[in-house]
Amino acid sequence: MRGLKIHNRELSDEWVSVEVEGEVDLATVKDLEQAIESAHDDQTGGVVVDLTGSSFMDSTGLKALVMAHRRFSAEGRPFAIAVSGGPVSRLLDLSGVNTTIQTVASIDELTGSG
Amino acid sequence: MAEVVAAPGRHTAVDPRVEAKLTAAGRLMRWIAFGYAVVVLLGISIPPLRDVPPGPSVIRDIPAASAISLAVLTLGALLAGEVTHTIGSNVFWRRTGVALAAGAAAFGVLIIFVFFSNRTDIWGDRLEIPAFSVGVVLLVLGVAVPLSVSVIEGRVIAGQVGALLVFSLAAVIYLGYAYGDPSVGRLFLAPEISFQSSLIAVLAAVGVLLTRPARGLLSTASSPGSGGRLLRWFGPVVLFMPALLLLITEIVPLTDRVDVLAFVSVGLGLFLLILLSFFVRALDSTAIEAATLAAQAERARTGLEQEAPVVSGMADLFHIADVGDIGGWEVATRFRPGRGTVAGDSSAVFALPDGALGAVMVDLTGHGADPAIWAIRVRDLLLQTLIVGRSPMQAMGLVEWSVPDDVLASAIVVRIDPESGLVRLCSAGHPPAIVVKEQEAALKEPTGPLLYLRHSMLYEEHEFALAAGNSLVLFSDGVADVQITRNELTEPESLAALLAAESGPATRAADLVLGFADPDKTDDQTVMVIRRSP
Repeated sequence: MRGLKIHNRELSDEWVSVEVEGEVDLATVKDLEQAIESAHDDQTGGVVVDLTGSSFMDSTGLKALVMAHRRFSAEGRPFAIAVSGGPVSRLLDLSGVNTTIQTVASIDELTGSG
Repeated sequence: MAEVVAAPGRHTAVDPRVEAKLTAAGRLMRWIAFGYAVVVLLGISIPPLRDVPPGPSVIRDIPAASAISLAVLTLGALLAGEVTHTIGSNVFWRRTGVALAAGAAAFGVLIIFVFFSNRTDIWGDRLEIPAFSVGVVLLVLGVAVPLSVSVIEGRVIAGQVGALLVFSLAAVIYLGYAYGDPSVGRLFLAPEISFQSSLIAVLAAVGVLLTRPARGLLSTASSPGSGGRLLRWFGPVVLFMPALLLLITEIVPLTDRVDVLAFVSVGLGLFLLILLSFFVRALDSTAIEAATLAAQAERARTGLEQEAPVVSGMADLFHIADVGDIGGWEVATRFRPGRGTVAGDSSAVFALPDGALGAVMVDLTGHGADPAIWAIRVRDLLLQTLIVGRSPMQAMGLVEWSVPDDVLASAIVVRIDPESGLVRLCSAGHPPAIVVKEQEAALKEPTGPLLYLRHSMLYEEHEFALAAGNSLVLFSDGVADVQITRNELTEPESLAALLAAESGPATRAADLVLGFADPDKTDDQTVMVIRRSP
């Protein structure tokens, strides 16, 4: 069984990252939703979901991202996805979600470091 | 009747009413600490505090450097802790608060350095040298402030333990103060310390400890599990052990270095508290995880019991194939429900009133009766829009407005002219369609995003012709999620490569596609093959 590791990290006062490693699917999407929820409640800035370490995501993960984006947008807070190639990037392309949610190749693009 | 399993949640939480009171108390303490620091700094005389007992000879008026640094520290704690209540650029103020606290911590390091190295030349006037205890307070609280407002649970715990350490240190100072010429706390009293600085330290420590009461130690202690009970029982015991040790050493002096012993015992008590806290967190998270999983399993079982008859009764509605007599075309459909559940696939292939062939496939995210019903609704809306003569891209743009807020759907809509073989295809974030022509297969990528935006998206269309023997293959993401395989092709591309070698009837291609899919998946698997007969 391929599990999911999620780690929340404060990048700056403006951004908290939700770093995902492993596969996001029906069995693990709750963990992702809870991690985003926790990041949302713990600070007042934006959240970037770092999927560069994720090997796979299905439509349930996609829905979690879309719903989170809606919530942040309604509150006027930024929400972004970091993804660099691979199956997750392809899924975002196919679904067109990357046209509505800010998508970057790495979280460094948001924090201006690196 | 099924037993109800209560899931306490993934994280323990302090009662919101208690949290609100504790937060208010912490805010009050921080304001008082800052206010009193300003009073001390400005030398304002407050009658009840002006006439405090003189205490031991080493206790004198607070040095100016101590007063300034304590004022900076308390201001830092105030700003950092008020982040959610500051109007305007709260990030700036929090950052400012953290910077002030960090500056105070750095100054604390300098004081400690001066104390141990006896570098009195740094100040020039020896009377201005702050006490060692002020240095410790500045260092510990200066580090505790940024930790206490962190989003990382471990840092919050460390920050709160730091505040407790200052609280205990101030208690040691008070003991020394009460004894007049004590052995206890001598290390902290020399060379000078004042009643005022101790009071500021106590107030600030409580304020920092209560900056985020719903996190850290109090959150752990409020856990309903056995770990929380353990911390509630033994936490105070661990904290009071140093005080007990101090009392014993005072009554029966064992050494003339009891001040050091006091320092070590306080540190040991707090270190044990940290260990206990992390142990409890690990213990509780395991128990909570188990209870949560049990509750999820129970809910899933109950849900299946309630939904299974409804959903199975609807099975025939999910997929419709009614093409009538359209000569020269073959249609084959396959459907395999997700394992252990019903997901949101729905499809229809239909002979339209104008003689064209219409095909629709919809996949809603989610499992159970609700997404299944919505999948049917979206599919039928798309189909109806085709029936009234709209193009696939027009149908998609219109129906997008009918998709509810909490639904995410991919869809593909096709209109085929049976005479010319002209195909117009619009895909809203759906897995690529595959066009098979003379041992070659090409992917038709989506022409717009998923149906969820309600932004009047302008969808586009693919337009191509199917010659005799050519096929159009549609499938849902349960058949071929985008996943890199060993040969570095995504699954749709692997499927296309497989289909390129298939030149048989539509039914054979449909079986081939379903055979490609993993039968153990929890997602629905839907396949539709439309082939122009050779």
